[in-house]
Amino acid sequence: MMAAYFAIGSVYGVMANQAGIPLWMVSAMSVFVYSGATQFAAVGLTMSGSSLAALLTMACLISLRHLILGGTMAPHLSGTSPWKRAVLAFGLTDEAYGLTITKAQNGDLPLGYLAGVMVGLYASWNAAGIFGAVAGAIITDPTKYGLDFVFPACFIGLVVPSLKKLPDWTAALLGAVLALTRMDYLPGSGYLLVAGLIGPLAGLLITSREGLEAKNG
Amino acid sequence: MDELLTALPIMAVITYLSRYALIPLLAERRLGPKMSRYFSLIPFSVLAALAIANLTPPGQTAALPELVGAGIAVLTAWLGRNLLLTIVVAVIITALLRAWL
Repeated sequence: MMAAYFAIGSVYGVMANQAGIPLWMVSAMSVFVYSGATQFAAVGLTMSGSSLAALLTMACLISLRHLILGGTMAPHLSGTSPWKRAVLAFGLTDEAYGLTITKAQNGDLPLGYLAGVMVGLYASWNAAGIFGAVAGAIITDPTKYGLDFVFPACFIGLVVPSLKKLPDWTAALLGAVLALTRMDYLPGSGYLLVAGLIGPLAGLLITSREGLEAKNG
Repeated sequence: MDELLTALPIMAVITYLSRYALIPLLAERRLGPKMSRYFSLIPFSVLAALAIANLTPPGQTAALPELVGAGIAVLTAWLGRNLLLTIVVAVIITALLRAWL
């Protein structure tokens, strides 16, 4: 997982460098924000000259998923002191969650293991961002190597394997369709807000309908 | 760049609070099934929307290499279920198609 983190983090560094973001800011995002999806999206929005409101809307929408991670991890941290919970929350990335939630559900999650996973991933991500940003200075035209395509490929790679049921697909497809309409109907990055709110609602309606059908036999 | 500089600390706070907010609240409780399901569907919509938005930059339409690359990415992600593999394959295919077409 740390190797994959390093590879993806390097790509982030390369793309941030190509976007003209200074090295200290590339590193500061990894140090303080520490969220791959948010950082990639921030670079993408910066490249397209998006506004401050668009950046913050994106950060809010992407971060919403963390509520689920925190919410489902919370019961497994009930015996932990408040300040330790506050520190551990910082490292609760998708990957750290994935690596620890199964052990947590089995009632076998030592605090040291959780902290070790988080520290390892954090160190890897930060080193990779700097490495990618420095190496990225060598590449003058990222489109020549298809590097600009890392963004859509990354988001596709994150979302597709997670789609298991019809409501999941519905939410994703509706989100994609709503994003397509952004140029004609929605100002700025308003498509993210609409997609992020309406897509899941459609998925939830299908979930409820499936539940009713199953109940009625 | 000024926007990003201003956004950076706010994004850090938003990200951290989103991770921490429910931990003290739900350490002893759980979300209702509907609310939990709704939140769990949000990333699918947002990530799919971001994929499309980056595939077709404002003012442009996606060309054949990007559309094929996206299709390959979906297939690779579905079959391989590996983020790094998906990115590498999609980027290589897109770059090759751009060079050839």
